[in-house]
Amino acid sequence: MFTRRTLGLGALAGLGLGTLPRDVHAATDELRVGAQNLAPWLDPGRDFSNVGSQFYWNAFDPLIGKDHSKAESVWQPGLATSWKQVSPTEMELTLRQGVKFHDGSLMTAEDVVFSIDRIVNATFPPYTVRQRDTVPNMAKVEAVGEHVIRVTAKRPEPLFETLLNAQQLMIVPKRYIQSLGQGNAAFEAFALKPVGTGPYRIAEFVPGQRVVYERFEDFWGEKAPFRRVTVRRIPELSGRITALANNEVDLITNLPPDQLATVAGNPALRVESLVTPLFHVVIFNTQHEKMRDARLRQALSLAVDRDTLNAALWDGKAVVPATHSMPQFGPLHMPQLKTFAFDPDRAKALLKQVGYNGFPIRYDTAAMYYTNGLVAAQAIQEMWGAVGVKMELNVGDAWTGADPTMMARNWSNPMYYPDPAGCFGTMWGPTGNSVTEGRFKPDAEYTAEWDRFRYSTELATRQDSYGKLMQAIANDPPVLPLYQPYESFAMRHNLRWRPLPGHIPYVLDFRAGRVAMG
Amino acid sequence: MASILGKRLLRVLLTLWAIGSVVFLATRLSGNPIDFLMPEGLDGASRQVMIAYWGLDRPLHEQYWRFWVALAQGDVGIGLAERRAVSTIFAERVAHSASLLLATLALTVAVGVPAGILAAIWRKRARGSAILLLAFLGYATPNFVLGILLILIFSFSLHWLPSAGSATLAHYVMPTVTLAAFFIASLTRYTRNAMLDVLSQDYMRTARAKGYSEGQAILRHGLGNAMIPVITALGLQVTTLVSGAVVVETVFAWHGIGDLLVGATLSRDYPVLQFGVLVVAGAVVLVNILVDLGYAAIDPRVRLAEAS
Repeated sequence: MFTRRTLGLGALAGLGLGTLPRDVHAATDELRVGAQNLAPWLDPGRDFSNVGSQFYWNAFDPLIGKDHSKAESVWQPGLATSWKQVSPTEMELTLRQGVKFHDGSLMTAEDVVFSIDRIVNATFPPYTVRQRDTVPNMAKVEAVGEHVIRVTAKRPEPLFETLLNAQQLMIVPKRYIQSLGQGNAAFEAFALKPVGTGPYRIAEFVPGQRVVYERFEDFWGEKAPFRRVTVRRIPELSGRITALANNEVDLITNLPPDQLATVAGNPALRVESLVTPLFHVVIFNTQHEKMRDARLRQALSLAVDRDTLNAALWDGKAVVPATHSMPQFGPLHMPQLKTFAFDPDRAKALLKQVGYNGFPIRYDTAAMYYTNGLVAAQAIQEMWGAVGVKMELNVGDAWTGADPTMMARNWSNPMYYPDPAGCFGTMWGPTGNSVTEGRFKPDAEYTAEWDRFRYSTELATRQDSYGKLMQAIANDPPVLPLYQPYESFAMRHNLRWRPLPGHIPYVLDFRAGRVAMG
Repeated sequence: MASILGKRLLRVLLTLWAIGSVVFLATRLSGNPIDFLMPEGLDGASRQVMIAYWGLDRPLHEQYWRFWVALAQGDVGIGLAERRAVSTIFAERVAHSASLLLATLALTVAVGVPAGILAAIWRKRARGSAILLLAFLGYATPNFVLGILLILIFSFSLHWLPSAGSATLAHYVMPTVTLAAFFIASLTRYTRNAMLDVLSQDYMRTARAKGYSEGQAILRHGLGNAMIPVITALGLQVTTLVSGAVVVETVFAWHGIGDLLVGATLSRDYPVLQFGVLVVAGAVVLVNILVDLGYAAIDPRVRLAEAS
């Protein structure tokens, strides 16, 4: 297909990026970004997507902030200056005073209650979906003083800070939204004319085409470093690289690993990368008649040499996990658990025990959706072949996760908030997608363990339970995490910017101290 | 003329109905937008919430009926991805695409017709062969290859022209040339062949015998006659022009209708896709009518035949 980087990148490389002169500096108070994708609408509350997550942090604030330079969560004051858990199910937060929205109005407790309540007690379908996947344990939010609010959970909540830091609970202006229309129409309108409290206001938003930010002079914190930031969509990789080399933009997103050397060879450009807090995974349909035996799935998992995949496809720069864990989980990052390994001999022995008779196992993959997705699938086909398993590679665009004939396929598992519940749990929790789509059926023991893990307010209990859940996954595998991909951004040599490990994937953070030109 | 139009209008409506129905069904058979527009990991109940929100939970026949009823009332629906009126989404982009297509058409005619005439006149000389060779190259080069080649030369190496976007007139140069190259080549060949045909006709010999110079004969008698097959060729190629625009818009990050339709196809955004295909089909049908009218204007025999 023509929309991909197959278009002439070889030619770009052949021309010798490194030899091209260009020393034209753009105005240093404006930043120009070329992004692969642009959001169709912008409302942090209803968004859960990798495309949308790029844009919110510049224009919106959560109640509880975070030091994004660190992978683990170090909480900081945000729109709340302090907070206190007053009981296992209640947290009270004192709001920052004098905060202004981009429309000039002062932020009040009423706005904060409205922002959270629109998700927790959602009537607008897209918010209902976020209520279900992000804050199912929240019961209510109320103002208990002029500048104090209380958030109440249904069951003891160990993740109050994590959730109140989440993009979905960023604060929006009540009166402004209500002035845009009646009922849900107001929320639809807001997503096209978003207003927040962040250091940049969204001066122009053309869905799918461009977002223009302008410095918000009344921002409560340190002023934004740029007067103007323009993010426009340049879908084609060669188009993005050219626009960067031609000094039409200062920064581009989504540079795949095989282009790193090409860009790095040009002295006018440089690259910044980050191991992304998401996993590329292989999933199994545990309920398929031919896939029921856990030993077969164990064998399929043990046959995959993930380090070789990493070396061959990611230049060794991706991270292969020993278990479903990443540094962003903080105290629940437990790399000491070793639940996934490469052991072809054991795989063969297990296949013998199962009496695998050579029936083909269908492996579904989209042609281009995931970086290296198809190539990885072909490599896994060889690896399975080496232990005697026949893979029937099925390339197609459709999502087959809910298809009962699906046997295995690739997928990605992003970190939606920094806790195993916001990453592993979204997919394999007892109400997660894998269960509701019918390819994973946890038993009562797993469900009870999950409950203990999710709602215990004791860290040691949560750690213990997560370890047990990981062992259960190893024993009866519905998933094999392959690696955390390595995402790169390219920029003009005079731009100082890098993606930070404390953000959810793909956030473009252009706040003070995070970016500079010159 | 009125009777031509009346017959045509009925045929147009039938054509659009057939195309609209095929697109309606084909999009629904090709996948569910929930799998393309929503992030990964959506649980079953949430899927149902979103499907109902988009109005896709209604029976197919009801959706089909509503689509046509709304369309008849001038309501082209709400895009699933952007949640805005499809008409607004198109209005935002149509000027980009239309201006690119018009610029391409103008360039094609301005270069292709004279080149074809010259190639015919110089048919036995090296200059004529050179024109044909260039036309062959233009015809054989895929537009995305040409686009990237131009970007390499004029953006990458020389830094003369911008490579992405449509903000200024300079942005038009490369996409227009890229898109026009194939059509110029094609039109040159059509014009040359038609001209050669005409040059050997008796009326041309008569014109020359009447004392016209070769140039006068071509202008007064040759050109009009040669243009009939050329107009047919132009009309037929409008569909190719639209599909070419899809590629060129992608290469040059040109946010037009082509780019919109690619996105809507990949995400199965039914309302955008349905309306988009109808717009493109409508444009093709309209061009065909214009071609027919063009015949009638140029060739009195067509007028007479239609009238009888």
